[in-house]
Amino acid sequence: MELNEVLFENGITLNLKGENKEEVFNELVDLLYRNERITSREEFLKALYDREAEGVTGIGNGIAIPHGLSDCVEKPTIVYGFHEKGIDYESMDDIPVQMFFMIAVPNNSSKEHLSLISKLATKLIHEDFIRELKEVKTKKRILTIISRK
Amino acid sequence: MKKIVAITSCPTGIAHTYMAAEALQTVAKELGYEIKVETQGQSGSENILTATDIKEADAIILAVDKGIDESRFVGRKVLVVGVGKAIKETKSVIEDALNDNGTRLIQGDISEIDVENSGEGVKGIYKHLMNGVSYMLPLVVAGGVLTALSFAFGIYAYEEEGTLAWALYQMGASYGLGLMVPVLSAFIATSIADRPGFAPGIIGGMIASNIGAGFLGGILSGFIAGYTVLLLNKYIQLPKSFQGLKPVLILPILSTLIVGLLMYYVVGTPIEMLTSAITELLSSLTGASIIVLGIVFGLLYIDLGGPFSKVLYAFAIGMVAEGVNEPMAAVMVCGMIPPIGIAIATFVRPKLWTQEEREAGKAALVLGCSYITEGAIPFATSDPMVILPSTVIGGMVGATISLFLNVATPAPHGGLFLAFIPNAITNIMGFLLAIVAGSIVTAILIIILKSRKVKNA
Repeated sequence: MELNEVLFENGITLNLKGENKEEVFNELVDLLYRNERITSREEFLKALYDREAEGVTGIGNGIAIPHGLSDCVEKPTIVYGFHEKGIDYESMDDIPVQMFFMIAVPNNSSKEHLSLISKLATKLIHEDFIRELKEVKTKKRILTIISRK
Repeated sequence: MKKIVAITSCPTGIAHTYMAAEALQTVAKELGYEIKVETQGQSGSENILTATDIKEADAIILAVDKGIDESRFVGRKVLVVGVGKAIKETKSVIEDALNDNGTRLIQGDISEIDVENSGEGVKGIYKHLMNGVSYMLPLVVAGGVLTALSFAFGIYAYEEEGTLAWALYQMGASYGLGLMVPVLSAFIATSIADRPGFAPGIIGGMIASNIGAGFLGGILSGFIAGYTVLLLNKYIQLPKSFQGLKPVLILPILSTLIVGLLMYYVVGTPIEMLTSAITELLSSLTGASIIVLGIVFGLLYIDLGGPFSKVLYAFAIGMVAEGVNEPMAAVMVCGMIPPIGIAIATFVRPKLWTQEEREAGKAALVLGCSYITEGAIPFATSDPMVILPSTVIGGMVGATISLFLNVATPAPHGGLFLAFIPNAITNIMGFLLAIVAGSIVTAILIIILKSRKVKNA
């Protein structure tokens, strides 16, 4: 199991268009669906909003990591979306969110899958990493930065 | 250097748990503190805090968005914050924890924790045993009662394939009771090493069962499996790109191999030697006094149907073949007393037992009356030092009475069901007397030993 099975070029969009949180969620869920990582948009959206209800997933510094745990997920997956203007997300620091990592995990995932995802998550608290990520303009470069240790 | 311990846990346990852990670690290091963070995420607990870690900590932080077990921290002040706060305001969270700002004292029974401070000591072992027992208990009850039901059709009714009695016996005795030891072993191992413990645990337990090592063998294989996995996990370090192989390939294969070989050659061989030694001993006993025989029978039943009991049982069956039926009756008495005695103890002194045990006590009575000794095993596993001496002495008393009164039977199983079959038992009053006397002795001893233990605790 390698990171590129979880996060891949077709699962990245640098051009999110949604005007609000809901529209951005729909765009990213579409991305999961088109890559055949989830079997139902509705079910996965529900899992996402259930998680949001327990506490907002905007972690500050312009990053959000909406995530859902659901049986409709085929394989653990992360899709990444960048929003030029930024979206109001009720984050902890009220900075508009530009970087969205949407995480989809099936129930009963294996440990390796989960640890790949949690490793990525731990990178997101380092400000250098975020700064670099924000500057990037190509999907390839994003993958390189993320898979770097 | 100040030491900090922390637990992070969020509702889904995928991302925030680990981010908070990373944040705490990074900031604590920047501030020059030592820190250990346990993550309770979707893939289980990692980097688990030991009793020593907690004892040595100057500050305890629980960054959790869901309820967690706080019993490890009884008597300590902890700072409880949301996961988000730990990620975002890490520095102030750490400082608050160290300065006792907004911390909360965890209430609870201190004495319980003191035992736990011996770390992976007695308390840990007990916890693992109980985990095994809790999964084994329903198997014993279902398996035992269904077997007894099959006997209700006549004690040999199960031999005819396709009949209801046969089906009951298959699910009860062959599968229910047959899975008992593997399941005990599997869940002891799982308690020690989490999911990776399961495969070597259940396979080791199956081997224990097949080499006739009984429930004691199953306990052994469970502990071996659990700790083998822990050790392998700790000492096998792979380059990053191969790390994924460890849990799916290397751990299951290696741990099962080690446990299996140990069970066959290190545990199995001595058992084989012991059983043949005991067989010889038993055959040399012909002509010995009744009391000596009674004592030996009671002693051999210490493993409640394990290897020693099996030797005794085989010996008794051999004697039946030679037309001597008294040993068979005495052996049956020995096998019926443990569950019946335990059941009586749970009825007479319910306060000494948990709710679950009291219910299991009722089932144990049914099983004991049907000569299904397994009914005693969950009790013996959770508290061997109380149960085993009591059942052994009760068994000695019962066997001696049975032999003394010349109780005899040619039937190798059936228990009280034999009473309904004409001429199955010679001196049926003696048979009942032996069982009742032995069971009462067992019950009294259990009550005495157990109340003493409860008082001391």
